[in-house]
Amino acid sequence: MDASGRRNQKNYRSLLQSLSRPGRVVRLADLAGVPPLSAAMAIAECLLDSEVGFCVDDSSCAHGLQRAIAEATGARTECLEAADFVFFSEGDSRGGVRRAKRGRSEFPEEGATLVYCLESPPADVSDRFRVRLTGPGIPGPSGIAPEMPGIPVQEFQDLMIVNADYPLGVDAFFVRPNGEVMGLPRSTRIRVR
Amino acid sequence: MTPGLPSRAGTPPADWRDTRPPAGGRYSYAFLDEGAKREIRRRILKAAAIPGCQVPFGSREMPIARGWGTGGLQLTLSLIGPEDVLKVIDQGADDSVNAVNIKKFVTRVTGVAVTTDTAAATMIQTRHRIPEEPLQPHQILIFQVPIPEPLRLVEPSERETRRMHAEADYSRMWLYLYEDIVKFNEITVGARYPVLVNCRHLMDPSPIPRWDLAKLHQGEALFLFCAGREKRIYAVPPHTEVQPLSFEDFAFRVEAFAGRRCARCGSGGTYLDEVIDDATGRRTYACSDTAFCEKARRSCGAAEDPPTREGIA
Amino acid sequence: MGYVAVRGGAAAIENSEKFSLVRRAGGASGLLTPEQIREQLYFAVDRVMGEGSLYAPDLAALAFKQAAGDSFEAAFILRSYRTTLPRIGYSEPVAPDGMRVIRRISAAFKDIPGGQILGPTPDYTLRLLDFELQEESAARTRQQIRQLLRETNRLDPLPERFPKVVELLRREGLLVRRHASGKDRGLTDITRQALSFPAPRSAQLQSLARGETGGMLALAYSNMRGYGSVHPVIGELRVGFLSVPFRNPRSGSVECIGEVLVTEAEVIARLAEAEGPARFSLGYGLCFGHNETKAIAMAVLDRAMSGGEPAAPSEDQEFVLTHVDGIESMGFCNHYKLPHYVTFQSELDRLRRIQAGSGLTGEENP
Repeated sequence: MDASGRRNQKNYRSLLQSLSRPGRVVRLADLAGVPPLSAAMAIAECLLDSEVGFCVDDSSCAHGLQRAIAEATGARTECLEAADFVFFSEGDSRGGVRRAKRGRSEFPEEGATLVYCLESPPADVSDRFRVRLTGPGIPGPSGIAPEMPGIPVQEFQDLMIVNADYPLGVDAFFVRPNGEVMGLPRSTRIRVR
Repeated sequence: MTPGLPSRAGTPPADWRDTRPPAGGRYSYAFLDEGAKREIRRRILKAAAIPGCQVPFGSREMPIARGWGTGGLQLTLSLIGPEDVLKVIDQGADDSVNAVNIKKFVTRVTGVAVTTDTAAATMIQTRHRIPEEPLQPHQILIFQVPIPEPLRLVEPSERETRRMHAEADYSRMWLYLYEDIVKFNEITVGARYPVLVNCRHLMDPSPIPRWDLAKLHQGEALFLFCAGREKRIYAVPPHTEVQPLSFEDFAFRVEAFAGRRCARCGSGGTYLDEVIDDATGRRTYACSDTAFCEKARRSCGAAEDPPTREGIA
Repeated sequence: MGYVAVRGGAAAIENSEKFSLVRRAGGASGLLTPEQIREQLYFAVDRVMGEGSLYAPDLAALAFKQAAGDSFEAAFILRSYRTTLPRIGYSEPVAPDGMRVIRRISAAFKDIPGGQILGPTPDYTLRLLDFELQEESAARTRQQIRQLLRETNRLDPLPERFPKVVELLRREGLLVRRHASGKDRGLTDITRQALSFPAPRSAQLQSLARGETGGMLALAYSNMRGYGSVHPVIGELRVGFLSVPFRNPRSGSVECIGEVLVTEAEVIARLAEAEGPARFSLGYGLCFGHNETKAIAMAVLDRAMSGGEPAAPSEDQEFVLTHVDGIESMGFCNHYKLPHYVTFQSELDRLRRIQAGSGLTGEENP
């Protein structure tokens, strides 16, 4: 198996682990490309190719993530509403999550996959305790607080609204430059204090 | 679904290097090309995100016939890596011809280590049984599925069953079970008993016996299901609600073995195979899970073959 | 103790392969070469290519040899090989009227521009077993062929292009207009996506093109006999070579990268239209190699499925497309040979409970 195949296989196992156990932090084994977006690139190389459409929602075009992903994977560039994969390169969708596609009732799996590219964690990490997650993959009826700090609470509130009509919805990965990943599928029930 | 054509006609896709034949004409690692693996991997993620929901995927032809495990095989091949340890069982047995055949193929295209010991495996591909030993969080159980649609019993059209799942309209299945009770005073569905997953999706657990259904509920491991011929993937993550359909006044029942024990290891709490003694026509019973049976025998002090773990360079 | 050990699975499989080898190659006759199969059993090779969905006559012949003549198995082997091949790109669309024809007939008209060309067909032979073939002399056969080639040198060459019969009908306004709408625009690729119903026409034609000949024949036959309403007339049947145009990724120019032998059938059926004048509708069939039965069956099914509410299985798109793939149907049919004793035990349990409940134990139910 060649190096990129190996990397994709290992990273995929981490991604599958993180989506099957929502709210937990898992680490990508093998990053790709140049920091700080090497974790996002690792996910892109693992999952994207010419058969899917993607969008990088990025207000300052300084990142170049869009071009890097297109060149590395051959994925089609789409608008946010039509994309299969949406990268929020500034870690905050600023309401963009509400525009991502949520699937059709007979094809809920068409809902988009979101990748939030977070910076290094902020000093104050207490916000995450306002959020409670329950559902498939999370043991116990009282659930857990998301293990990854620094995600704006508004994002959880938006996801709660977007995924209210389960099984329609979106599925999200939150990723840090050091390769930490937290998955949040649409099946997770979110409560915010 | 949008067509899978390259966006610029005639230009090879940017990932075309993935698809060049490997040097020396050997197969890609794990047989499937990177494009096929990526597609299956994307579909598995969606299946895990919507427990019990059947996700269509571009199933590839395998060197093993349709109906003989190509679905389970595609999942195994898309997930497996050199560090994995693989166990393959059919009807609970490691050395049934189907299991042996699949193991032969996977080791040939990956070189991965195989084992018969459930506890030592990281990935288990199974046909029609869940191992008796409780699974651990790091393990993945992959089910071979002949017919992924639980509603096929009451509705032959895929168009119609898709609508029923979209609307959570499972009334025809409830009616079917109710009519069984009225006619026979029993629910006649044996294996493939329909279950409700995450309180939303009706799911076919594959032809495992009712005995095994409780293991799907709030499990520790990830359960993945794949039908190669019917081209569907679905999943049950750990810690997920999985309830067999049942009426308040008519409970769901598992198979009964009338207190019988395994003739080889003496276990009284496992699913048993009924074996006809050809000389006398007498029946004996033995654990369907042969690896579990071996472990139990050895712990009783009986000398027998140890579990095999072959590393293949 | 009566326990029967079920060990030795690996050894049993190895032995079964050895026994198959003995059956195939253990006789006194000389071993077949793939070349002999390709040249002399060409209908089998063409069928395997069509159902294996890979245009590769040498490989199809090899697969047929490996499968000892089982065309389901041979097509399966070819499909499995296809999976390992990289997808380099897509050809440019081809207009079939540019076909290099070896056979071309129409049942709709007595004579057609370019003529009725029977070509190499067994259609008008008497099906009397030819015992002379038992002791066929290679020398004499080659002499016969040399003689034939000398004679054909003195005949007029075939025209380069044969106009399409259906074009004549189209120009007269007798054919229903076909327009791609919505989902029908653009191509789906059924090897990359699972079919979902209603399936667009490109998916329908792809599925039929790689369908199993016998299964498709049975379904089309049911329609022709009355479980359906196609009443086909063959507008045109062609067998010939189509060139495959491909855009060179570096130079951008379109080049021909080879030729494929195909069979094409255009079947005309009467259509009663809701509004406007009654017109003829068309069913289209195209498959690899020389396989007229399949092309005609395909055209009839294509037409049958394009109507409104299905009144018979052959008109039901989901029914037809789900059941014509030979690799899937053969695999599933034969999978019943796999052990099913765990599920059977579950069924036994159910039945015994029912019998116990109704007071009957192990006796016949009245």
